[in-house]
Amino acid sequence: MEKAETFTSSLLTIEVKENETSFNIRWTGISIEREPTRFITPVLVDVIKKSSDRNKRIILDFRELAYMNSSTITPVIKILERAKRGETQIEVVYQKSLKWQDLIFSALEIFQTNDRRVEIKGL
Amino acid sequence: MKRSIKLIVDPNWDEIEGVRNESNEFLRSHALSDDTVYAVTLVISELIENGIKYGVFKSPENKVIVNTYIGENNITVEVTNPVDETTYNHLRRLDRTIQWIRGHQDPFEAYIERLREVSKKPLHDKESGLGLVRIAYEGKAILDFFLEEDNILNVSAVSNLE
Repeated sequence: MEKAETFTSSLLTIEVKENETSFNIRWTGISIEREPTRFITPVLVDVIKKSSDRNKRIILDFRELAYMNSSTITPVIKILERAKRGETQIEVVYQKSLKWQDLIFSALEIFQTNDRRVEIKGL
Repeated sequence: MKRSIKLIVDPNWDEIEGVRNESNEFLRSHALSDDTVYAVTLVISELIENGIKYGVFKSPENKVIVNTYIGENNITVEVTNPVDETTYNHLRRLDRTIQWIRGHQDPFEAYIERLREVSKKPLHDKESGLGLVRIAYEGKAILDFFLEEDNILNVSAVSNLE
């Protein structure tokens, strides 16, 4: 059974869906708030805790996100850095055919681990 | 068809989306590729964010002004906003950052370096520090700035038309 929660702030929506094996976090809209960290970080930290307790993978799906400002990238990369150093299983999924997504997200491969526990996937 | 657009904007974060939409429409009307439209809109977005964040707006007449020019071979975005002596630290940091970006052969290297640096900062630290390097990398733009008379900061980004 899937459980879902939706979080919205201004023009950004983050939908968190839990299934048997993972937490799927789908980002839609655009993220241009001045301090998106205030909204984004608690959502991600909560999911990380739950994923750790339930041994589930986190999937950050950005494919439907139309734009994110540099202040939005910040909490995402901090989470990835901490995941890389820790034990969290996390996957970033983006749309390779969108040039802007390819530019931003392929650069995040610096956080990828050899065992793909942290993985950046362009689809 | 006019190859430039000037937007005079209240220093209000809610105005940014309107600027993005108008700029996007203007760029699309010149039959530029989707990638170019996206890249230049990103440049405008990031520069206007900085203009609002670091500008000093002491009276209702004080605005952020965004000029976009499409030339034969390049596109120039200029964002101007008032500053004063309280923002001189920011100007020094702006200068250092632009010089630092220029010191890299490829803006991608600067972007990666900044990603690594910012990712290690505390979770609740608000500062991004990625805007300018993103302009250089994703926007493929050369950044510059100068202080006009009457303490008006002019920050420009020039990208080649592909």
